[in-house]
Amino acid sequence: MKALTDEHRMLQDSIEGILSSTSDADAVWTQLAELGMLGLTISEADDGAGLGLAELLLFAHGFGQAGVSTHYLGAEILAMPLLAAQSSHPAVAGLLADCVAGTRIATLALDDLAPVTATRAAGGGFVISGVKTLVPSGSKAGIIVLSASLDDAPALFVLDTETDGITRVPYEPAASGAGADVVFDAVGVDEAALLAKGDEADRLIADARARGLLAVCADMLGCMEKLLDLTVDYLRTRQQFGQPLASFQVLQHAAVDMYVELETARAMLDYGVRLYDAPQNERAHALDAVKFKLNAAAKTVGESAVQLHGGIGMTMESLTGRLFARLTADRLSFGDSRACLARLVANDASIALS
Amino acid sequence: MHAERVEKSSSLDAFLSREDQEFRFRMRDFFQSEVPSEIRAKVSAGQPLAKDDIVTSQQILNAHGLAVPHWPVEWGGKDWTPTQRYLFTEELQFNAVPLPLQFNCYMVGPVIAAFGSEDQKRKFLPRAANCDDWWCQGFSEPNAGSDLASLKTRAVRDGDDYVVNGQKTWTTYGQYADWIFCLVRTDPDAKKQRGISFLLIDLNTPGVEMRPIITLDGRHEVNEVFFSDVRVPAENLVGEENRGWDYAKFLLANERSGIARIGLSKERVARIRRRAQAKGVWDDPLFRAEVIRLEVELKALEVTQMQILARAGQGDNTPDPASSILKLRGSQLQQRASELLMELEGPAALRAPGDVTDAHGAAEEELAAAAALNNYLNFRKVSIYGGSNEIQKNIVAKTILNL
Repeated sequence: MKALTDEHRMLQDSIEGILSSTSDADAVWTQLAELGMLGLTISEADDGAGLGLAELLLFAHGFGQAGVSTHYLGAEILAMPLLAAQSSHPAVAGLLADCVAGTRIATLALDDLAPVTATRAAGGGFVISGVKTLVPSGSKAGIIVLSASLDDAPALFVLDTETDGITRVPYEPAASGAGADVVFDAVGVDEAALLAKGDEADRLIADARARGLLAVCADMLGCMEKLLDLTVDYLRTRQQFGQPLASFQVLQHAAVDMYVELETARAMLDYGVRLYDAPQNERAHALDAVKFKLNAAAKTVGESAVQLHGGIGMTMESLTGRLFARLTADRLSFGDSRACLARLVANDASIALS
Repeated sequence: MHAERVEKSSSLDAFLSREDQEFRFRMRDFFQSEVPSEIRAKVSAGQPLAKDDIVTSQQILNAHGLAVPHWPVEWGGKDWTPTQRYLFTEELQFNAVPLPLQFNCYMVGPVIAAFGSEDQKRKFLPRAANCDDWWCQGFSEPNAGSDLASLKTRAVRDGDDYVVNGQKTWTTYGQYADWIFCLVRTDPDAKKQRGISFLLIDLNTPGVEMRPIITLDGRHEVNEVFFSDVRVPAENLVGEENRGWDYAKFLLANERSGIARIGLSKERVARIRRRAQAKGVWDDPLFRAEVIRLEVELKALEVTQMQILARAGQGDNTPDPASSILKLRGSQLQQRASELLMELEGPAALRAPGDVTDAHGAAEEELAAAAALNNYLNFRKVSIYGGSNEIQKNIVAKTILNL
């Protein structure tokens, strides 16, 4: 996304290679696994590649550019690094290897539609009830890590999605991807399903949210880059009134507005990535600003791309239209503008002066 | 009153080496300890500066070798990296120090240093650096604004002189100036850009007349300059005849760091926060939301600037395409900040005294409030001068997007 190292360029080439051969989410996943490109941030001891956040985001960016849906967000960005952080936990044993091999897809469910609580069962273990919402790859994942309230404190559980009492409700809108609500109706799990609780769970959740936000932003950046390319190409080639659209200054300036938003959004994402290791409060505040900026850029770039394409941009057949829909879904994920702004306004710390 | 000495690490330090961070603090200390606080208070309050304020401040900088750091070393420059130059300007703006006179230090100086004769360099550069001569700019004409190359002011060679006739306009601080650097047409038959020369004219020459233009804020900042049979020694031609357009382009491309004026906008944001808190406006979440929107865009532009500098530091000397957005977005943010400063005063801005010629005794906060309306009006200029935002967009469309 910024100055790329040779290693990054190789990674980028392999992403492009995979995405040029297929755009089916499951097929992409299989290929990534076969090429050993899952578990990027997982340590080599746990069968991963031992790389960092920047490499993860490179993938998210590539998928955004191509407009290809994958299980990347739920598995590679959210669930797998969290599981890896708890790799010595008995419930994680064997799981990670399957995830890296691509034989099982894990996801992470953080948001509640109805409060999700765990209570201790009389004979040991727990009973989980409630409804999780906006679960990425929620309709496909075989493993679900979820947050739940246990003894009035945060906790994380890991369970198989085939467990009795779990019902998944996939989303209808085309732009929603493979997301789903997941209903837990008195699901009984054993003691080993408890991954973390209290402060430890809090920290794992905060880290996961930060990764999710940055990954969605990287996806948005990829979408926006592609949308600007497509729009500029279209302006150059599309003829109306006997001349290319590019000859009209009003359209040129609209494209420049897209460019300015894209470049400032790119910088803001870089800022967010650099702050990933900052103290939790400082990071959360900065990332709200990052997402707010990316959302604002996405509105300008996305809406203008469709507008400058005219009717064709409205169709499912057009990559422009599909990228705009994806970008819009991204705007609503991991920090919509209203929520980000509300938190930024409530915080006295200055973004510009820090 | 001004930005306090902050030792705590900033979130942007990730973009800066330890050396650069230390450089930033050294500059901050210098500006805060050496430049008189009365002058900085006026800048911060957006009150108009007197000629003496600008001269005094520049001479202090020059005495410490800091008036023209971007010039060639033999003429007083420093061998700084692009990042250091940027940090210097940013700290200067953030600490409300007047920018060394732009016409001297950022315009005519670099052109003379690059294209002038040895005599011109010796005669003009040291005096320009110390603001002993005050320079003004003669580029725009009534019918040559954005379309600068259509300028008509004529210079006809007559013996050892040029005879100049025509009119220049929007000449900032012309009323203080000793010299004007002009683009003049020396070959009316050549195509637009081809027949233009770069000429240095002593404003005390007979036939030069300066007339004030009063702008919306009631201030006298700009002027019209009329030339009637003004005889200019040919030795005052810079470089070659009819190559003036190239020198003008060099001038406009020279020293772009600081064009986004991020330090200035940050100083304004700090003022907005202080003033809004003092007035209780900070409790209004709608107002705060507007400040946040500005701050987020300002941070995004600042990081954009940092990335451009990081790339510039990696050797490649070609101008970074992304730098074209600095003026465009930077001017929008400066204007928004000036608008928020006005909005937080509300209708009271209408009954405020406006510009205060004698700032002694008045609280800085009151001075700033007094000028809020004038400053909003005044700052509409930043998206017009130096290539309007529409011209900037044309440039981006052509050179970056290839439209």
